[in-house]
Amino acid sequence: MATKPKKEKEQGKERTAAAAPGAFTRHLEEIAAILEWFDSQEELDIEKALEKVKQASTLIKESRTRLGELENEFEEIKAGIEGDQ
Amino acid sequence: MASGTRIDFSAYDDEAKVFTVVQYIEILNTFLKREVVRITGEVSELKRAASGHVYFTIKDKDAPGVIDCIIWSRNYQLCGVALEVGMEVILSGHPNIYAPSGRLSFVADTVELVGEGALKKAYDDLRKKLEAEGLFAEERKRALPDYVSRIGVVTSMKGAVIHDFMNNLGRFGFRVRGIDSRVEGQQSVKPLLAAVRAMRAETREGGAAAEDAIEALVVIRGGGSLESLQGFNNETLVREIVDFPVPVIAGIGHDQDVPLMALAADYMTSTPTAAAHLLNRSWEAARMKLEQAARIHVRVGNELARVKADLALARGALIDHMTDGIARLRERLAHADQVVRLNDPARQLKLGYAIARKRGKVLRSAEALVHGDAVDVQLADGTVRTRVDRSPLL
Repeated sequence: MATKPKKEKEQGKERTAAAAPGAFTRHLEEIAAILEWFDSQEELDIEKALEKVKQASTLIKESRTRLGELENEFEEIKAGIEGDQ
Repeated sequence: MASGTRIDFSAYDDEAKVFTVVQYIEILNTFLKREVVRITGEVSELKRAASGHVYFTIKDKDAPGVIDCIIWSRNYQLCGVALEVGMEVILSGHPNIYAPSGRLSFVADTVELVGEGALKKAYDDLRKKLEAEGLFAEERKRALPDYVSRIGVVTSMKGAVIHDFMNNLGRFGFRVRGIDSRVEGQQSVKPLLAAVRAMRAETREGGAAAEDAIEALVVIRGGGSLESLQGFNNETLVREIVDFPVPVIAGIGHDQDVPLMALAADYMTSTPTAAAHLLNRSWEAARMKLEQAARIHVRVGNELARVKADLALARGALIDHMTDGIARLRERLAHADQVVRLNDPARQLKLGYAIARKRGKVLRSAEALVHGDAVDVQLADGTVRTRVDRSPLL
């Protein structure tokens, strides 16, 4: 059985994660929480900051991918509604 | 000259012409037949022959005068009067000379009773008889079908009655077949009977084509007294109405006693106008229903249009919300990305800053170092190991 290339596999994993019910909303909430953490730091804890940056980058990337999927779905629905007029 | 031979009247003016007795009597009878009159008197003698013809004599009440009378069997049955000695009657007919005897007789076509009292008694007696037979029973009455369109009308076509009727008949495409008839007095019996019998032939049962056959018969006349309405109290006519193949509407005005023909009809109205309204009824109900349906149709149409408009608005709002929402989310993610990048410590390293660690822990103060401590300095492109030199600065 052929295996998927690693990147596609990882991308597939990312899609699956963001596509789970409620995941997109949770991702946005987590991103907001990270930004709030940065705002609240008088003295930045470098190690924590690095960790949070990494976390946030992953969340942002997944969310953008999911947003793209949602937008495509919406375009299809919109085409269907406008076609009924 | 044999009876029935055509008479040459031109010869009558010829004084030289000689006629035989029979020829002369025939000539006289031809002239006499034109003398249709009404005479009144009291029945003084009466004989009913085996043939059914009735031979009787009437005498003048006030002066000496008698005349022999004959009423043929068919007319006697039709007239509806049972002659009795002593009865005062009015006869309608003409004189006639019976050739074999040379005797003058009055040939009566109709017989009427004289006086309201006699008429009323005859009416009451006949009504009782016909009622006992069940001719007026409600169970016998037939319902008028809905949406009758072909009707037969029997009435005098000269009076106001027919105009009243036609003017009140609604514009529903009625096809009216009318037969003119006398409607006044005893003399109306034969014409009414003939008209009703002719109308029978206009029904399906009478042989008319289905698409032309009348669906109801209407007999109408204006108000009148018992004497005036005698024709409508005739037994033969009543029975003809009872047996008529389609429902009969009688629209006959009357003073007190309801005409027997009206009692026998399926529907009885007091005026010709009411008879017309009866025929209009089902059509008017249908028209109202159609108008109601049309109003509902318009209302439903308006409601559908409103819902369609609402849906269009909702559709538009939905698309706008989604488009705005997606754009805002995109902006939010872009902003988050920018903030994260700005706060990324790795960016600081690229700007030339470094992160110093002693035994893996980030150094925040020089106080934590002593001479000879090993310090790892992380730069943008790698980490170098250094040793702290606390010698005084030159």
